[in-house]
Amino acid sequence: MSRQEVITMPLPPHLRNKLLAAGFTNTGELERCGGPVALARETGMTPEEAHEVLQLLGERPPAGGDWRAGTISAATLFEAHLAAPRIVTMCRDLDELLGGGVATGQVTEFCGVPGVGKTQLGIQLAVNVQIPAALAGAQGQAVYVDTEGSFMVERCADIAGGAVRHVTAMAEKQAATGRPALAEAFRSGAVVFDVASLLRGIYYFRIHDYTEQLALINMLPRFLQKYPQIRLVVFDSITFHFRQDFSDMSQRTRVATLMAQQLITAAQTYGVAVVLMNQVTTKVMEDGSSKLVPALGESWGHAASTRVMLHWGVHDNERHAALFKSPHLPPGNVAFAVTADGVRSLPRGSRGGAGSGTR
Amino acid sequence: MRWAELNGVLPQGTLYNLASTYPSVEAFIVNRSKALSATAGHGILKGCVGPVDADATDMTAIELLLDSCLAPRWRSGAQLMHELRYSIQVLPTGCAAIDTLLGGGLREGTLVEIAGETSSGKTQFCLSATATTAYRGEAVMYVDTTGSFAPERVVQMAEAEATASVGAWPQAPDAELAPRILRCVSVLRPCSVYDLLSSLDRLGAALEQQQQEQEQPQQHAGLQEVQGIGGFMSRSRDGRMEIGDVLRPYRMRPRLLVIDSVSALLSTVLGNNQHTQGTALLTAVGRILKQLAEQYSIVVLVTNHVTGAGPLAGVGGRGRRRVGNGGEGAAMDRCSSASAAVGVGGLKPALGEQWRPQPHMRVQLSMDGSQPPESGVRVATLTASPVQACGQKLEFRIAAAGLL
Repeated sequence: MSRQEVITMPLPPHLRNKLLAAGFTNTGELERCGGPVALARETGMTPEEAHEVLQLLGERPPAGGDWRAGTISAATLFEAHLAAPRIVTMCRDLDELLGGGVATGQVTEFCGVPGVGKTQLGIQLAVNVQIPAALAGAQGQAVYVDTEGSFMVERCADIAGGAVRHVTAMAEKQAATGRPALAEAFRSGAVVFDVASLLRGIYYFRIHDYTEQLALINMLPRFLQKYPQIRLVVFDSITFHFRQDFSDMSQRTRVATLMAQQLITAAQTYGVAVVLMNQVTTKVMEDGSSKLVPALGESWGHAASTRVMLHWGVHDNERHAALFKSPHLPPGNVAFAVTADGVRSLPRGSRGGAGSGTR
Repeated sequence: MRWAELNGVLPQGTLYNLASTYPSVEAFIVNRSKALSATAGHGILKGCVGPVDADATDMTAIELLLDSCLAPRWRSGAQLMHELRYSIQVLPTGCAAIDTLLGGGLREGTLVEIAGETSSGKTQFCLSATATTAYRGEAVMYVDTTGSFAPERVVQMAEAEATASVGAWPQAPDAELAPRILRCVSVLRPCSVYDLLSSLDRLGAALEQQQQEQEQPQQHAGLQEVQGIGGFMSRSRDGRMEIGDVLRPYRMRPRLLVIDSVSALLSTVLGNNQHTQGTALLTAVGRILKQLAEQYSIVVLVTNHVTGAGPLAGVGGRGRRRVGNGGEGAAMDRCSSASAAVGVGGLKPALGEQWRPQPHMRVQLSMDGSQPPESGVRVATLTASPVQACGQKLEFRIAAAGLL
């Protein structure tokens, strides 16, 4: 009953040509030919090659009468979205902008000019993903892929220290209001949340060119399977090596879209949050004005389901985050600060003048 | 096609002769006019493995038999018009502007492409069409290649439509709406082109099997399948019409197939001289989608991203200035529709010239230059349609309630 054509199967060209020359045009005919030996005889292939071809057929699930076979119900996805843990950024406005924090199971992109705080945000997320579940954290580990060399371990230790102080304070507050479970767990050592354990929970990769990056992304599913506690993968930055090493633009597009597809699949299969840091370029519009757009252009546009642009505020001297693409959140603009302890909301006094934008 | 498939059609002796001469049925058909002259002994032809061993009258009889098996059936223009008037449905998308551009909505049996730059509203439009279709109780198959399917947004848009059309569904309380909507939507998440093709193949096989089952006379006492507006409904014993979820789920065939986005998967195989299959896969995807659309009366909606259009997009503008006073109106129309066919605002749909003729209708979404992107205002341009003039632009706004 299936009619998928032989030309669309992932076969090497010489086998495909042999099948076409023998008159096999679709998979239905392959199924009816009667086994690898008969197939080999009709087409002139070796029995091993015929077996390989029929293996491909066997991998496809059999067609039944229910067209919904193999699909996921939207209701299941809805519940999964609601139940998926979110990774907070410790800036309340930014968390609200993102709908509670960075979502796991999706790809989020942060782009911005150099110096606006992308690496700081990446390190903060790698620390925050390890917050215990009792405080509504993701309680997982992080993978940090550094392509530019901007990761500084001392800064990471500072941010980790700030997070430890924040979390301990929250545990004390919980104990004061009648839920001492977490504070006791800290005291007894059942739950460990100190700088050393936070640093141990970050797997760090240093990438030097695009070949290493592609190899890492190819390897990522196996890595995520081996370490199932990983809940976050940060790429800082994903497009750095793709901006200078490619002379052939169409090859760059193809490689970039393949990379995007692998990241999306990994995020969905293993339920990890994939966070991509991107650079910006200047785009000159038709009327002569220019604006900053994320690097790698339109073909990279679908890689992330949620995209945030980090920029310096027009009216104030603060860092701003503008959500400009999201499937279900309205666009918005909030201000945040980068302190010695990491990413935090603006201090209360100056929040009035920060000018939060359209909501 | 192999000769063995025609075992019941041709007599065994002829089949054996033909099979030993031509490796496949296609080889015979391609060489058949030459085959008649070959019987006179003109030698061995390309595609044959030996001289043909049959005479001319036999050949004609064989050709007639093959034609009757393999050729498609004729349909007259009158039949097509009758189908268009009485059985082809038009699905509203929830966005009035794009509905107007498409001539009322998404038409069954067509492949519609929505192209646009990032965050121009392509996914929002797909979600809006999904919400509107699911709200009417019809099944939707959503193929999500970019991870941007948001069930919350579909429910939000459906709830907005419910509050807007108070009185249309008096018996459905609000708490029931979300599960009902989500039950109608099935999501597929292929990770490569081959995955997508095998899923579409499986869908086609399942629908064909379902269609064959439906053609058999109904045996269920008290239940009668009535094909009408909004898909298959069933009349229960007391005669009250019940829609959608009363039926067993597999009976409800999908009315809308959304692929968001097809270019995400196809871009990975295009553009390389070494990837021999790229163009074949692209045309195969287009062909299969159109076949599914036509055979099972489904609307297929795909999204595509855009690339820079290059020098051609400026031709329309230059031409406009050069035109003189007389006939300027008509010439400007031609120029705007000619440049719209290439692209809007210096951007054209991706996937190249091979993909361009595949969809039946194409709409391009772009930002409105005069307004900031946060306002949600977007412009939709009709870039290709067999029934309406191209170049028409309409504005719409992305809001919490949907696309207005």
